[in-house]
Amino acid sequence: MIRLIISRLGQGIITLFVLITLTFFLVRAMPGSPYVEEKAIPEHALKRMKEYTGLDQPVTVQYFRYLKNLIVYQDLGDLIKKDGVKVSEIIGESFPVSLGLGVMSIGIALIVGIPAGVIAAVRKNTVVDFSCLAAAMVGICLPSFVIGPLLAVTAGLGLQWLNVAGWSSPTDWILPAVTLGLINAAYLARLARGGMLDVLSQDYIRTARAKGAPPSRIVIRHALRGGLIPAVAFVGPAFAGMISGSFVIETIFQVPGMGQHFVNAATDREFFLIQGLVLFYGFLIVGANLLADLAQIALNPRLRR
Amino acid sequence: MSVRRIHLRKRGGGLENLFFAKISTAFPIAAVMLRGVMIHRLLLISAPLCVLLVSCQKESQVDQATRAGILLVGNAIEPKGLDPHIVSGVGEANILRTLFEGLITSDPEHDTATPGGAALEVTPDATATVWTAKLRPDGKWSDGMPVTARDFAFSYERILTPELGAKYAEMLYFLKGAEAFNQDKRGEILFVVNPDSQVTADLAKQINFRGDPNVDIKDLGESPVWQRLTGDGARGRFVRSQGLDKLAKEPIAWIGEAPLKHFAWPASMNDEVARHVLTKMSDAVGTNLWELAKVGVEVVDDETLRLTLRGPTPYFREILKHFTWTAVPRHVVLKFGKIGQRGTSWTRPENIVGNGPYKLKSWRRTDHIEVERNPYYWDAKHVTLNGVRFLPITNFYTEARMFRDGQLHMTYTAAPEVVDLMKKTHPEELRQEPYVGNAYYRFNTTRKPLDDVRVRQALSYAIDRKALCDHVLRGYTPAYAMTPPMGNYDPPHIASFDQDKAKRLLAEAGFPNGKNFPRLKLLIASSSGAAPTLAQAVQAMFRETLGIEVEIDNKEWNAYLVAQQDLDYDIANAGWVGDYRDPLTFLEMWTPGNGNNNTGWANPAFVKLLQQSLQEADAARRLDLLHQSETVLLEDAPVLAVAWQARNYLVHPSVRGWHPLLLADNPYQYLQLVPVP
Repeated sequence: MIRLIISRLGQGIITLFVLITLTFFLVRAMPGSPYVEEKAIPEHALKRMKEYTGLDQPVTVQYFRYLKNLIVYQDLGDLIKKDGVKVSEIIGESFPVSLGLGVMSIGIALIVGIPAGVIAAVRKNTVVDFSCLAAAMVGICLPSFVIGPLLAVTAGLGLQWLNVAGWSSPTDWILPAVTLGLINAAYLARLARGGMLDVLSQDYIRTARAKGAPPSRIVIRHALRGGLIPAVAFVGPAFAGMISGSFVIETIFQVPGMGQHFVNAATDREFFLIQGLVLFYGFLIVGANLLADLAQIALNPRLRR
Repeated sequence: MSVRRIHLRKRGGGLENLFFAKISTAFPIAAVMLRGVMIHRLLLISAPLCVLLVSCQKESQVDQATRAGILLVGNAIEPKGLDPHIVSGVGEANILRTLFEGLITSDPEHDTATPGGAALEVTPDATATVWTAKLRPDGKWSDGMPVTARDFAFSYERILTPELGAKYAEMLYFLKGAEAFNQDKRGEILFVVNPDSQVTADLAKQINFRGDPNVDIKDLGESPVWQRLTGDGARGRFVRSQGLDKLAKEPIAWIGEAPLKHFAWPASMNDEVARHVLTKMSDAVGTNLWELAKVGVEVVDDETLRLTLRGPTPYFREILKHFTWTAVPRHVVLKFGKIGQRGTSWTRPENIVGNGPYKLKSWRRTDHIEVERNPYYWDAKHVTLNGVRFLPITNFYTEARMFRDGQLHMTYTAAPEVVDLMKKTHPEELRQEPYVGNAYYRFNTTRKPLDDVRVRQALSYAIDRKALCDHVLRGYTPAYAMTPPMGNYDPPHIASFDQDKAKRLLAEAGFPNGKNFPRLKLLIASSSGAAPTLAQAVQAMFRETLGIEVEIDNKEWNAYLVAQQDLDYDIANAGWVGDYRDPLTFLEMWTPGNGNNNTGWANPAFVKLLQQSLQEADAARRLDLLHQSETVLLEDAPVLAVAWQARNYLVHPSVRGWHPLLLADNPYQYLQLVPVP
């Protein structure tokens, strides 16, 4: 167990290093530049601006300078287009919002998705099963930029229950969390159903039935643990994705989260912000995968060697 | 910060009726079913929920803000910063207008320039070249310090300081000597502005101070190349290409070893004068030349500022309204860094000090910026609005939903679909106003067949601008020139829709009925609003009228800009919003070397007329010169004018005193918010 954790951590560090390096050179290989504006910036001003951010140096010098700042000073660098703003500030301000929203969403996804999948599996090939499957399919197919505005118009403009967008009232997280949660619930429901069907046809379940165990106990005590393994494997990375924000959700509901920065940093060629975000996201993914691994081991004794 | 409160109202009727009243409007069938079956049980369970969700009568954020006197404004973007010398952009300008005040601000009542702002009056001399500003004696910064002429002089020096690298410093080139100082033209400053006994002005003009772009040093790699240069030939080539202005001390010292051999001097130059020039240049490396540059900014006394311009500028008041001309507090800026230092923390929310009607209250990135009353503002007693909250809503549909939901007093824009809907449902809330901006296409005049003026004209005559405005660019006006009409300026009527003329011109250029015409690419940015639809319509018009095919080349925004600046396109979609209310802002774009030209087009006649206009003190004659220059531009057609912009946006009925301004630079402080029943 400890060996597994240590080896995963080692792999994680190597992954992150490769990630930093790849990102660093890929963003600089993109066509365009952070200094392109509708009206071309005069050359003399451009020169000063590049000196200020260090982008006037050769790429290799920039790379080693970046690594040094990162490792020695834990400094992710400054924004290029926003003078004096640190990448760490942007992440520090926006991540808590995305984290909160992500936790709510994953909660909704679990509360809706897992029971729906389990019930569908138990009531296989009945109306319940088909309606769960159909709903899940709709949830997977409908993109968030359709569900989001629909929810906003219904709950906000139609019923007048909630604000259509914004982040000022304590109830403002409901709509984005539901939108994000429902989409993931759909995936979870399908995975839980598949996993449960697999397990429910196993011999030990039949044995339990033969021994006369009540159906609810069979499902909850015996089947659930094994049946949820595929869903759990999905939850890890999905959770990392959800707590790092969603561009679509954030622009539809005007949420000051982290997801929008992923997209805007790329279109604005905010090199240091892209690098910082990718590193941070990589960190989350590595961490979430490790947690998912541990959770699977807890659920599946066969993985404990 | 306004947080929505939930009001519980007591009502006469039972909860039951209330519940069904609400449910049946939303789900009529469900209501009928429910009423029959399990009503009592359901009511028992859901009573607390019903109280919360159903009987709550929410007061909208707009209603609350109206009571508090705070305007909620959609502002489209998260500002890149609050330093008026660093940023550019409409979203930033909207916020800066509340925090900083220039010598003159736009009149809230009429769309004309009348002195308001930090100066009591700004008066020209007879030639409109020397302007004197009398500052308000009661002007104060938001920390209570007085606003003096020194602050303004400092601000103009700061934005022009080369080290700051202010990209919009060009706006101050109206000041005498500003361009040379900002571009660090040391040679010109040392020997022309400050004539030296040994170097006459004529001689100075012949010395290669600015470098010779014809000397190719590409093979030497990027600078700093000095260390890597070995042979004298390579060094000499480098020195010639750079010019004396850009050289560091070491290269200058190297030239000094054999001054006449190492540098391209004028023929009449002798060794002694060359040495003198080199010594002076070497001494000037890295020093601030503000005093020597004699930029036309003079502090007469604390309340008087004298500005000397590069030439007669009768429209100078319009220029002064631009935010690059606002003052920044000298005592605060210098507390956090040097004059030419970027990215200091003086604009951080805890440090920023301004002289505008408001001061920064709170800033949460990508969420809001809120400004509150500045008690030290000279006209604080007449400021009617207590504050403004700017929301960086990038998604226009989200913005429209928030407006409909009572979360905004005013939107930044209104998408075409929203315009159509609002016209039907709430026409009184929709504003459609002219805006000093245009929509046009650039031609790459360096590429065949677009290097032929007849081809460019043919393409221009093939466009039905009225149809485009009616069906694609809602609210826009068909353009007959690049400059929208403003003030006393009516641009030449040249761009028009004439299919016969278009066909004839194309045939004359060698492509009868579009035969053998190459397949051109029409560059657009995928993210810019109506551009894709517009491009498709134009594509069809070219096909129908001229029988030619263009291909739409859809690029991501940054790549789209780069392609234009590298002249790597055939035809490109573009638009421009004027910086100030004068035709010059739309015409100087087309001078060679301007960051907006990007067409490869250069016409000496055009440049000459424009330059004449800069020396013309008579307002009417000046406009005539501009009119002539625009005629040259339109006849040469390096650009295809399509339309003049309009601003479509939504305004809540509670907002009073909002008058349309051409530049949309309305001051917020005198608005009134009146609750509507």
